Amino acid sequence: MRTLKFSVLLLSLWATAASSAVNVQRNSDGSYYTAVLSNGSTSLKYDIVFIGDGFTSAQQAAFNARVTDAVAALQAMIPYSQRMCGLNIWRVNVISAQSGVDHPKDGVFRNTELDCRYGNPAVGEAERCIRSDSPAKCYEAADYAPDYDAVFVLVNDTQWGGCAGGLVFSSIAPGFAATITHELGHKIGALADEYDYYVGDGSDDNRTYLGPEPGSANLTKQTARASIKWNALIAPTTPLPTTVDTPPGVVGIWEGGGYYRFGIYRPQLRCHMRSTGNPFCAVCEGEMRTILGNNCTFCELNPGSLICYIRDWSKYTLVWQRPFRLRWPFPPCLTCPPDRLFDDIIIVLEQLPLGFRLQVVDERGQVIAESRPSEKGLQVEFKANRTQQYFVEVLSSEQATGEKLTLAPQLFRNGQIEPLPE
Amino acid sequence: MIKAQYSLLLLASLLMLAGVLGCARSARVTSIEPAAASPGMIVQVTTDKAVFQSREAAHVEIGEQVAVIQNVLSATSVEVIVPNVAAGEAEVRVIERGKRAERSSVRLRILPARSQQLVLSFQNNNVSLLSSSLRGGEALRTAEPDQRRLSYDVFNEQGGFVYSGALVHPAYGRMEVYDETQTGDRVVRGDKPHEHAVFAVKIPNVPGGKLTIKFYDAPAGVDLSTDSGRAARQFLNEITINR
Repeated sequence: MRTLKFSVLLLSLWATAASSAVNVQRNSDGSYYTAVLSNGSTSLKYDIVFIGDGFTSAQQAAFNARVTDAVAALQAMIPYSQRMCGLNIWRVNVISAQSGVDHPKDGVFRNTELDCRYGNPAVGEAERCIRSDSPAKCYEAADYAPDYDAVFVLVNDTQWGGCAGGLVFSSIAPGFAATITHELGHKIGALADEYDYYVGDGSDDNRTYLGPEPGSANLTKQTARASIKWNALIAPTTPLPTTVDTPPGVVGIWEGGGYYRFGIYRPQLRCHMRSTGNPFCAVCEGEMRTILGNNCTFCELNPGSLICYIRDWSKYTLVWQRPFRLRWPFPPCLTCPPDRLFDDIIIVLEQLPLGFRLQVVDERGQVIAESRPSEKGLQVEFKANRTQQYFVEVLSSEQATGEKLTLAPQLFRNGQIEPLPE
Repeated sequence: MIKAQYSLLLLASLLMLAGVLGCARSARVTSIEPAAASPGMIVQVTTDKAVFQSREAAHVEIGEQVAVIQNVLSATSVEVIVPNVAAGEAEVRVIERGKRAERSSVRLRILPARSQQLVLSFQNNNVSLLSSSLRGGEALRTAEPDQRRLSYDVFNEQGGFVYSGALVHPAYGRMEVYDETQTGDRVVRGDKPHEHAVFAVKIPNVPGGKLTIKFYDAPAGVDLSTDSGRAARQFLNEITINR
């Protein structure tokens, strides 16, 4: 009897666990996710996961096609198109029992895996605001991917709608990918919204901003030229504040942004962060390019570089001409324990002819360490902050001799020799 | 004579059996580079047989979990993504279609995951933990500073402050509604977020058995990297994670 009770208890526990698990498609290799765009280790890339709701087992190909559309939209928009190397994109195929999602306003209800629905105006919700009544299940589905920094939920419905908080929901109506490109502006670049109302029903269209200087890159309350964050992009002849957009695309300070009409300024008249029909303004574009670029390796950004063809430094002999300058990115620490920010680095180059030197520059181009001769050859030491990117440079002086040069650098991180990545 | 015939028959049978077993033998992993990696990293797996003629021909398992193939480098070599398996030694095996898997002597040293993904719930000014999982990616600190934020501090087992982060407040920060398909000025607008919110944050995978996270409500505009900005936060509650 006791055994029977225990079995019933076990069975009910199993049933509870099974009923709460998200129904995710298993691929032929046994995995539960698909790499749509895999550019490297999750520790180096910004990871995006797409999950779907209201797609039945037979409709998974349609979901896959919409994800492909979203990726194509990213690939077609600057600066994403130039910095796709900073992204990993994963897809998790969630299987719903029924097709479509709930429309409470119309009394239409569907049995879907992630319980997504359009807003219900009867209880004060915006109908266009798609959401899930089981957001934890959305994260559970995303959890099947190797990692996620942003989760996009595509619902199988062609009525326009989208809503973004922590999770981003979008229908698959034509143009839906603009929701993704705009939200990534917030999530990757910490860019502020540039529209000048909040609710947008006419009740808050004329507010004046009285707060401190905004922290985001694309808004300012400064009107003095030297104090404006994007001053370097403003032509000396552009009047401030700026009111004339001739020729189109004038960078200045345009009043309105961050949900306020007055007392706050944005860089250009039109921007993707103001209205999704536009490309990014120059400031937002630059910010996104920089941040995404930090997730790319030197060779991803400069695939034509000579350095990217070199597979084995110890065998490679360069025929050099004066002046000689060779630069390669300092490899990030992939296997270091996570509890320290700085690493002690020593780079040694043996067999360098006379007149050569070695130096390390940071991501702003500042030389932070120069070589000194050691018994092994030239040696450079520095403390590497793991949040920064560094480059190692070999340079020749006027006194450099020889015509051939073999490079075989040795890297010591925190006292341990480390193989250089190929 | 009969004895000799039997011997030949036996030898032939043994050869056939060896042939059958040999054909059925799955490829063995001969090397893995690098020899140590954390979940989410890419490692190169090389086998003694040409089994990767296509992505579908075979798959790789690390620690009995599928390691998705990122790149087929040659018929004997692939790059795979290290799955989210626990730190320690993990067996690396190649599974060919229709063939039993051989045990492999090559093992990957799984390094501790770099971060921990927490799924949290916010309701009635209280944050609670729904789930946590180990991840390979970095913890991100990005949050729009002009928004009201949920700030959090992470403390290790000894009570040492190890990390601080913030995200747009899931219940009081920005939420956007995408209203129209036209490319007019009012395509996007703000809306009041839901008071009950579920959200995710990624924190570093701090060594030790216990972790405490304190949550704060941070007003819009304050600089959370300064003492005065941090002092402007209002404490909400704390959660403890025992691992």
